[in-house]
Amino acid sequence: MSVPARSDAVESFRRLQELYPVALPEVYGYLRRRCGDPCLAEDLAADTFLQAARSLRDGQVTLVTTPWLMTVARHKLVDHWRRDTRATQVLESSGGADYVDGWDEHLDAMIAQETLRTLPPQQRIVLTLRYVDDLPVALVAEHIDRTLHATEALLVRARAAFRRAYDAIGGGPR
Amino acid sequence: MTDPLDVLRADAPAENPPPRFVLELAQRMEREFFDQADQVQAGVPCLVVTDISAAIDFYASAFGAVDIERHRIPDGTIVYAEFRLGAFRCGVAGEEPPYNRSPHMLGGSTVPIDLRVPDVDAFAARAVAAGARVVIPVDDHTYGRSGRLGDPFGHHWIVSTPPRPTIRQEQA
Repeated sequence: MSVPARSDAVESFRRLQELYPVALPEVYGYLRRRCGDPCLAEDLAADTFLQAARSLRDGQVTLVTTPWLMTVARHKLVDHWRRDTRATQVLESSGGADYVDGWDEHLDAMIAQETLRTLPPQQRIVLTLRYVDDLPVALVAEHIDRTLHATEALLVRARAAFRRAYDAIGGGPR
Repeated sequence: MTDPLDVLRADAPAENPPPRFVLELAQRMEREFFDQADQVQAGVPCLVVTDISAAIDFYASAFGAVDIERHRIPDGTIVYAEFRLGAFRCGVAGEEPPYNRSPHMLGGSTVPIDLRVPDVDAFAARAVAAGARVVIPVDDHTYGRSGRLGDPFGHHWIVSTPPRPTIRQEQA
């Protein structure tokens, strides 16, 4: 059962409404750039702000800031990708981790972004969080709810899969 | 040592979503925060008028009232009606002192009805064309664009278009 909105919660909600015009383009921009799909970005941005409203209403938080919203948005994106049915099966079948060793060539940014979009969700998630968002591995682990070691292993496999896909798309040496 | 995958690094510049989405989400947030299952689910004011049939005809032509229910007693007399204006539901009842007193009996309305509409100018123009009286012309205020109309039964309607939530301007 939900609890009636208290006056201090209402005050906090009003502050969220004041923040909304500035924070929404930040959240939407982040999501749109990461997922590439405006409709999905709208859905995830809406989920993010609606969760903020509920969290204030239920007293789980007393202040919503733009960094708080961005963290929630990142979780929503990761959750969305994880729900993708392809996620688990590809995670387990991506061998050849050593493929990336000694790989120090300069990558073409456009082809690299295209490559990332072709990867299975679980690999796309870790590479996006680690490289696109530039998060430390510990934070990536937190987002995907894995241990640090499991995340490191997943990153190694994802990098190998990335390189194979990059070469296949045509970015690799001829 | 640089990592080849560093080429993927990208900041995420702010980007304005479609204005329709901005407005809809603002409204959904408001409902998410305030609408709760264990709270009041709806409020329906009842306007007391001298002639129920004439009143619902007027509200239909002036405001676009729809979904009109008419409650009759066996001789066919309408004793209560209810209509909908978008999200607003409103009842209409006849004079029945000492309980129901119309503005005409009291010498004025004691409860103005406040409607928020998407286009207050068009809304007011239609109402005036149907016979509403301009009490306060529609004009810009800090709380939005707003005016006040009087209906032929003595009730006052404050009609407003609240300011839309605006989003940050794109950088040139």
